[in-house]
Amino acid sequence: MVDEEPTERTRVRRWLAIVRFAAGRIATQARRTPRRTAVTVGLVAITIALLVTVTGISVALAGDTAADDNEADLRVVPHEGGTFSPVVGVEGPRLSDVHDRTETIDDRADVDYATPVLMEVVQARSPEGEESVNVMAVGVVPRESSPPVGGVPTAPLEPGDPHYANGSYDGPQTGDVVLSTAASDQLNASEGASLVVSGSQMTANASAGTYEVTTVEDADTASLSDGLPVVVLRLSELQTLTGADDEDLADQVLVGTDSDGAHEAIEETYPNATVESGTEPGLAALQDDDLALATSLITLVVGIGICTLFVTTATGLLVERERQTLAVLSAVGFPGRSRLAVVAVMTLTLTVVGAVVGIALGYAGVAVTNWIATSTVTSSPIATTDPLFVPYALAIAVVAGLFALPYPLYLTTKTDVVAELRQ
Amino acid sequence: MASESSARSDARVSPGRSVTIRCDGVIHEYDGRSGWIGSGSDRSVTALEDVSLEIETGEVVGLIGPSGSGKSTVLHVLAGLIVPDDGTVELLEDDLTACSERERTRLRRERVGLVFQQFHLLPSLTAVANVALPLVQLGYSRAERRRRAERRLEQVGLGDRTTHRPGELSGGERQRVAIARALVTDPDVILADEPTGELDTETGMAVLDDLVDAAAERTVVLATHDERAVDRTERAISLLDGAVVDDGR
Repeated sequence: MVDEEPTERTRVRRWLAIVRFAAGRIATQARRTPRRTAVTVGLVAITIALLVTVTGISVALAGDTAADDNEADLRVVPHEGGTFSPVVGVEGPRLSDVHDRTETIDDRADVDYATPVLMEVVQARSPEGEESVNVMAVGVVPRESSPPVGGVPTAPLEPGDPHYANGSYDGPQTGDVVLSTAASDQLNASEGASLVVSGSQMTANASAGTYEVTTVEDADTASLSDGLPVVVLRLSELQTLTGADDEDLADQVLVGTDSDGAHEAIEETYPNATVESGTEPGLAALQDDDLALATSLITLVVGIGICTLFVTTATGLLVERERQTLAVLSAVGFPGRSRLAVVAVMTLTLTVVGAVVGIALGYAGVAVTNWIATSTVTSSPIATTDPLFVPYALAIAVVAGLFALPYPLYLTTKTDVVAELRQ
Repeated sequence: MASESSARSDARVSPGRSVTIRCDGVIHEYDGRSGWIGSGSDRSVTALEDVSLEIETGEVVGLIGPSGSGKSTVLHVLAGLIVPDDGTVELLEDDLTACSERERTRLRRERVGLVFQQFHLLPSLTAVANVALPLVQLGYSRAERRRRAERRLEQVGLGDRTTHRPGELSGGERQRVAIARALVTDPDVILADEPTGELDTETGMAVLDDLVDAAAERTVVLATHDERAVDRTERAISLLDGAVVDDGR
């Protein structure tokens, strides 16, 4: 018997050739039995597509805030239920003294910009119009490099917030407002038009103001989760309209920075608030929402279970069709381990191909879900996508493939080589 | 490994030739039980009954006998695909009955070439890929596998058919591809099970001649019920009902 042990190089070549051979067998199956292969891939794909779509809805549910449409690196938000200064509970906790504190953050060299964000539902109408339209007003302190907020760019607003006037709120009102296209359509107001804006829940010191449309921005994400079109104006002017000037309130502060040190400094500025990283709603957002997390976990478990059953059944049939090939491999000297590897690679290849198709279908599913939702019950998307969905879905498919593996491998070991060679 | 009986058999080996294959008292039954977890009636069939034979290095031997006489089973035993219920089988000084499955597979991979009546080529692979298949497990580079496979195909007269798939080849050409595959690892022993069974007489004899020529100095064991095929062998071992009735010496 030949006693030479294979070198590492020959071992690698051998395994590469086995993987290539197994992938070739899948391609052959796809050519010879396209319908069967399509069903196998399709079943996995449907499972993964449903998983991606439901996860997209869960993530959107978890990250359902206006500021999630911004591009900030950090977000300062009140602790849930916290009522200590500087967090004050007004219709839910808010941040107070935001102008001064945000200025402190913005003055840091490692911070590109910092702006407080106040979101209020207000009513707007043209001076001649009689019917007011509810819009989501977003108040910001414009900076040189402020990001879009609620999907609407803030750059058209001149930097600064003169009406604040060091907390006296007696500075000049600019009267500038930026409309999203949706708001422009609903208000029938274009650039240069006048608008009368008033707080929808008027407080004692709240008032109405007349604004001029600085620009209309075509913003895809201008419609927020509650279906309202977005208008952006200066923070102090919105505070005055809604009575939020009393404690200089805002819902959150958006910070643009690449510095890790800024995080700590911001926490010192707002000791009773939470500083969150990231801006887009993503998988990480699930951690903060029990319902969304539970939905995703159930989808995950059910998805893996169903996918495993589909892959088990499909690859069991696949091995049945490949029995003679496996017998020939044995006859020409492929050991059991290599034959099992061929079947394992075939199983995982089918699963991954199904997953890739499923991810594409899942993204389409998210789009369709949003289209149906916005066409019927809401004007805003209810599902979202995240680049992490791709590795997430692939990993789940691979896990399902690994769970399914024992059955086709068992069938492989049970293949009667001699009986197959005699056929 | 060398048993008392094998030492006894050595006395009959031709001068200058060593023994490549030696079977001694080989018995094998096929388990014919059926039913739920094999609990049905026992319908075991005795395939080999005390088979003893010796084949010398470089010898071209025919295993002849009617259908069901045990020819294919002997070949499968020699190839290590079947472990007999009793007796010893020595192939190239290794006792197959004492080897593990892994060792038998390795022996088959490195020192034995198999040719089947039904060719058993993979239809999706080209001729050269089919021939190169046994080299995969030996760890040759892709280019080297291709080079060796092409050389063997040229040797059996199919140098211009390397990229053809089995479905594009005639029966004789397919069997030549199978012969090239059996030879590609440069084995010591060729075991051919009815290699002419699927071919017409003229093509079958031509293929057989190619097999014997290509085998050169190798040991060839040819299972056949074709009398004309036996003419191409040096010796014919006759089997009947699983027993050797004439070892042709």
